[in-house]
Amino acid sequence: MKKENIANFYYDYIQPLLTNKKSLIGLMILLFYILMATIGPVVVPLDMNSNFAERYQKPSLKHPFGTDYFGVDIFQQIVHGSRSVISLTLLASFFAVLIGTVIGVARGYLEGIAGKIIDAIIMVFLVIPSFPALLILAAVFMNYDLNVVEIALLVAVWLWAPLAKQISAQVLSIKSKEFIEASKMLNMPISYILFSDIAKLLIPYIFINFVMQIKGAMEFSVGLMFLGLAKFDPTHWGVMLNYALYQAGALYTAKGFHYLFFIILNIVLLIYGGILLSQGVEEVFNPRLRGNE
Amino acid sequence: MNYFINKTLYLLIVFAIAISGVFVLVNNMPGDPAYGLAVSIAQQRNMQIEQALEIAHKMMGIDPHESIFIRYGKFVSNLLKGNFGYSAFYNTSVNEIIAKSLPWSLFVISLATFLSFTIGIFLGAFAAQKRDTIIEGIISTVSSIIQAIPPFILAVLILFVFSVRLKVLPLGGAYPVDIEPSFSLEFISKIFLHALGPMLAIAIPQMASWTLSMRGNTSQIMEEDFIRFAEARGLRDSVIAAKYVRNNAMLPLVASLAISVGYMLGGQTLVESIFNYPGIGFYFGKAIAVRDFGLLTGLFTLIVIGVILATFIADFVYALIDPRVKLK
Amino acid sequence: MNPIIKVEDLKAVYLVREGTIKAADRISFEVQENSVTAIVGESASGKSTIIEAMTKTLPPNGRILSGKVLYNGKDILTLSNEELRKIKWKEIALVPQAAQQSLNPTMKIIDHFKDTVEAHRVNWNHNELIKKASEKLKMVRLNPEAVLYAYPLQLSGGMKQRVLIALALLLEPKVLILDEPTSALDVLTQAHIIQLLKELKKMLNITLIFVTHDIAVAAELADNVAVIYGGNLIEFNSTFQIFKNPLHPYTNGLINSIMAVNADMSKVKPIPGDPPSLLNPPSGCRFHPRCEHAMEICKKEKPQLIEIENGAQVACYLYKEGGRWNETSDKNRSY
Repeated sequence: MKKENIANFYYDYIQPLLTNKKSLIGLMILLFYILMATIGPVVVPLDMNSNFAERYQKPSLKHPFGTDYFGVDIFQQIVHGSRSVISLTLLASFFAVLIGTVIGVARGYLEGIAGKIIDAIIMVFLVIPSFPALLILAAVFMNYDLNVVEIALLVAVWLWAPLAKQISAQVLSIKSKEFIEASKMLNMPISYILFSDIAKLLIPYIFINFVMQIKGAMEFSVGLMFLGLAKFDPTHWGVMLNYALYQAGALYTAKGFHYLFFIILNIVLLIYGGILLSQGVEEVFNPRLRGNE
Repeated sequence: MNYFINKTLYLLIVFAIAISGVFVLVNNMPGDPAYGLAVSIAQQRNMQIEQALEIAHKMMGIDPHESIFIRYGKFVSNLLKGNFGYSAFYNTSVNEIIAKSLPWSLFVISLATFLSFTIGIFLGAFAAQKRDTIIEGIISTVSSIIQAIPPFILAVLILFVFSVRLKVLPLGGAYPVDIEPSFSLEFISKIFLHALGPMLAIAIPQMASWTLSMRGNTSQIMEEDFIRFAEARGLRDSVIAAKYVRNNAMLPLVASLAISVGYMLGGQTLVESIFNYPGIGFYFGKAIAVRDFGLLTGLFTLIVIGVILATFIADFVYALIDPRVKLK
Repeated sequence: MNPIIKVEDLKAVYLVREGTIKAADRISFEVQENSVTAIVGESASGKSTIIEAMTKTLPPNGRILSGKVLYNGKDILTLSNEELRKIKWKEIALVPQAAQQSLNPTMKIIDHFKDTVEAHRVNWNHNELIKKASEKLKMVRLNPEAVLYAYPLQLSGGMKQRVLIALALLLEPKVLILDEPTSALDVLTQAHIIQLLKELKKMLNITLIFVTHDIAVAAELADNVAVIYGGNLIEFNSTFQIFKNPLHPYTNGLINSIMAVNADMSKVKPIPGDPPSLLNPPSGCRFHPRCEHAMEICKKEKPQLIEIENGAQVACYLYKEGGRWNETSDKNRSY
């Protein structure tokens, strides 16, 4: 039974993505970075000790991405930083989807005043400009040493609202459909209706949204680190960018170009992977979603 | 009309919740919000910190014995009077900072919006007309890649390439310090030159997203029956492309134009900080860096007002230009 | 009598992911000037494809593979786009089936009239335009003051359909082609549109061609009927003859099915089976899987359209050129 479920999941969600060019390339890029984050730090050593004799070395066999202002190997930092970049991004996307789904489903089920209140809350988070709000929140919590999960939550708070709105609309429309009425008439418990019938129809939405959150989560967390708020890992690429610009002044010396270049290249490539995957996911699943309505 | 009254009420409630949330967040901070200002006063005037705190409290209009409710009441009544609060770091009212920084931000944003929208609409429509050709492939791929570059990273790149290396753009400021502001051609051209960097950093990603949405809308509209009916009537291709395809594809985008302006107002914090461009975002970044919560709250309130106004305008404009909404 | 339109060997397909849909296969027929011709067939039989191919207004995935469409002796299909554009609407107007979505939702009705006039360089000033447009709208029994300045969404389905017809009459074309002018409308509006087309036929010097799935509508309006089955033209005859003496077994079944209302229920024989897939049409005669008279040859070779007598044309092995029944068909002629 379980095996069957996995096989169905593969045919329904994974296989179509492997046949779409965009999502395939996007998946490959993301997998590359996930591998880098999981295996990389084990294989590549990290030596953060300053070595001024080797400051700003050009890329070479010894230092594939060159060295930074302190003579530290950039490649090593990128590899080790990928762990916090990937975990922060995926966690933030996950939390955003979780919050969005819970609030969206709750809104779909609650009627009357409670529903109106949730509507207003969703609206507030939709309207509030999220990046400045995130910065304020981060500034408020700056003095606490936040861990990855807490920072991810901080970011997710500003990402969940659009999904909640979509899901609540979906649940409202599904709720009125006949088979749910039938479940009710058969006297099935409400929890069964919630998790069995609705979940089946919402999975594609949640799936698409998880992928779409990657870009926002990535941009927000890098921006946060870049501003020097929440410095929990010196090799996080956003923190590296901050060092490069404000500590090392890499911007103002010709020798520092490769320093900036490799940080930016990796940030952009990772976000691009997320965008490609989400474009592919939309191409593959959206016609079907529309067909459901 | 009823629709607008409802909408206005709704947005007012949203505004109240947003502002109150920020107020509570900032004012429940451990420590005295005036402490930072007090330290700098104590250093400047060589006095005891207790004395300096008292002065700081007076300057910021805070009574440390007041409860948060009374402070909230004052905050609200000040806002209603148009008073956005006090900046401890700059030692001046937030209104003054807004007065000198908002024009620069609006200048950059309107320039960026105008350029990104016109070019994006053109490119998107063009790409859709050239469906399944190399031109479409190039436009779409480049747009997606640009979307993967966060504006502040683009800002770093522009600063590095054009200001530091090529030295064709200035390194910062809204105009050169050695020129007196005037309406001379030289001064005006300098203003444009200084705005160019931050403008491009926000305009280019915007342009990419306009291009992609316009391409999507256009190819959807081109499938519509009314396009084929226009062809059947022997209308010229140019007339169909403009009046039937472009106008319909553009409608939803024109409405979101206002929303994107509001979004940029909040989103250019990092860009203006990187270019040292003295707009709202620059001061917002400064307020974050030195944790000047008075300035932070004031500027955030301004940004929220901007976004809500933009949402409202977007709705209004949409109803104005689309008969399908207007007649409902 | 002069044929104003002569379709020869017209073949059109749609390209889809699964292959090609053979929607119009070697269609040939003639339309006499000032006559009314009905093209009748089930839905998805390719009947709309014929008129869309004739006017080169197929959807983007449609392709014309071969054939000629002679209009006053000129082949429409070989005209340049600009030459064709000038003929469209001014001489041959096609009113599409999708009347509900055929008007630009963000333009007032008057602007649709204006665009049409401007496209054909007709030198009318604004007042003349209003006058002409009002005249045509009155002809289709619409109130010009109410309709001209309305947006499409303010009009009902029947009103939109009539606006399209008024638009089609604006430049007084020689040929008016209508795709399912009565489908998707309520019964009252249907009756109204049929009445309207009857009046137009009397009032104007106009050649009408219309497509319908409803053979009753054809009976009421048309002089000649072309029956389409599975992308093939299987019978062409005058309306009177077709109802009096249907030749093709399919036509016979079609006519039988509408007699239900006025005749003895026991005589009604619905045609068994489903319409053919145009993606993989049956071999030979496309009707053979559903035909009670099917013979060996029907499965193998496609019957050609042949003339029997008095201009009656049919594509069926039950008949032979020049009329009369085939030997084999005599045995089968039991119905």
